[in-house]
Amino acid sequence: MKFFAPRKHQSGASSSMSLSAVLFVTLLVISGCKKEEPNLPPTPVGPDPEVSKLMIGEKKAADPDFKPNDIIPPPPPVAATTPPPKSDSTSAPTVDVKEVDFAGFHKEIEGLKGKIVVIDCWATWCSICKEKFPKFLELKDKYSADANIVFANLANDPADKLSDVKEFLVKSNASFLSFLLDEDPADFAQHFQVNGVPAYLIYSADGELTFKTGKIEELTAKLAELSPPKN
Amino acid sequence: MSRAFRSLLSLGFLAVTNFVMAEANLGSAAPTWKDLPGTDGKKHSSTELKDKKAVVVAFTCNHCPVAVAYEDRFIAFAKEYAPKGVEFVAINVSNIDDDKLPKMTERAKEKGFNFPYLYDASQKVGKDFGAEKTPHLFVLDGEGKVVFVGAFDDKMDAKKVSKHYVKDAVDAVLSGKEPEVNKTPAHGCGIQYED
Repeated sequence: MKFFAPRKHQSGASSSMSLSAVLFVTLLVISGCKKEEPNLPPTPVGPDPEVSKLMIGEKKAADPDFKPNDIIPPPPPVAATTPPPKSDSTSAPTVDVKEVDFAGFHKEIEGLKGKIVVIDCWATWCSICKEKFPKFLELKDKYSADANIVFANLANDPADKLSDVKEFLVKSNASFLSFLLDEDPADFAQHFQVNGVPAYLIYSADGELTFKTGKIEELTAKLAELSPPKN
Repeated sequence: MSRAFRSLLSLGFLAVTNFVMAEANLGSAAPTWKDLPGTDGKKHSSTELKDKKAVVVAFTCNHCPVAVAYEDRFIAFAKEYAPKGVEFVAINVSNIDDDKLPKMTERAKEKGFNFPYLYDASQKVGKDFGAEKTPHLFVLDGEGKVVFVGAFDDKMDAKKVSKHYVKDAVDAVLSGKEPEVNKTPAHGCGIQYED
């Protein structure tokens, strides 16, 4: 039996990262920036770089003050000379963390109706939460083949701890649905009727909170009941 | 990872009862403790409390920011309620280095704790009470029966508190009534039991 064996969580992480990268490129293209991503297939959205060059050439040719030196050599696109931002580097991945209050969180859960949602509630100050987090990631990997289950994590931390939350998630190679719930820990405990974090919650496909525990072992057992492991 | 934690995992089915352990004590005689070392250099036992009108047992520790956030409130409570015959006792069962007795003593001195701050390295008293969090509060009536389990109040942020659970429970005991609210979720750092 394995305990806390260091594991990579490439499957979920890489798909989210690819999605983020596609979104990023799409945004760059839309904003007129011609930065290219060699690792990605050409995006169907936005003008083809060759077409853009042609358009620039036509404009220049139509300019009465046009001089060949104006385009030879063509000025490189700004983004091509600017080092890519840290967040775009594969060696320093980032994670998206949605900041929510209780209402916002329940809206998100509502939006996931039709799927079972399994949530690890933690906090940056909670050492036991962080110690058990890899175990949750193992579960997430174990059930990655089950399209009916969504895994998420929720940090019960003040909004000004967002960077610490992200840092922990990045360090844990945990790029999946993440929330930051900026509510008093006492309200958290009252709201979910749990003894604070760590708390592991399961919302049924109907969007009902059907299971809660402070023990990852109990969550493991419950998941095995709900969905026998596929691998 | 500690060997103890491995054993805990392998005995995962036993842990099922732990999450509701605290409730088991509500309405029953409180667990007792004997000769626990305090930050005052003396040993303390629950028998010292037999003449109190009410006792508040707070499982707490040094390292947890939630526990720290409550320290001033504990001091204020002890000051206000000691003249009413109420004893406030803080107990630490955490065995991480920052929580052990020398550090507890430092902390008690630094903050001027006006209540006993006891250490149970065996963690037995924590298990007996079913304490899971720091802080985790238990209010005992004059007979030593647990009449409230949960959080000290309804906000970690002292400025935003609107419900004073422990004070309300103690006030009820002092006026010979049952607390209206006898249980709330506790919140804070999880106590790491070693077996």
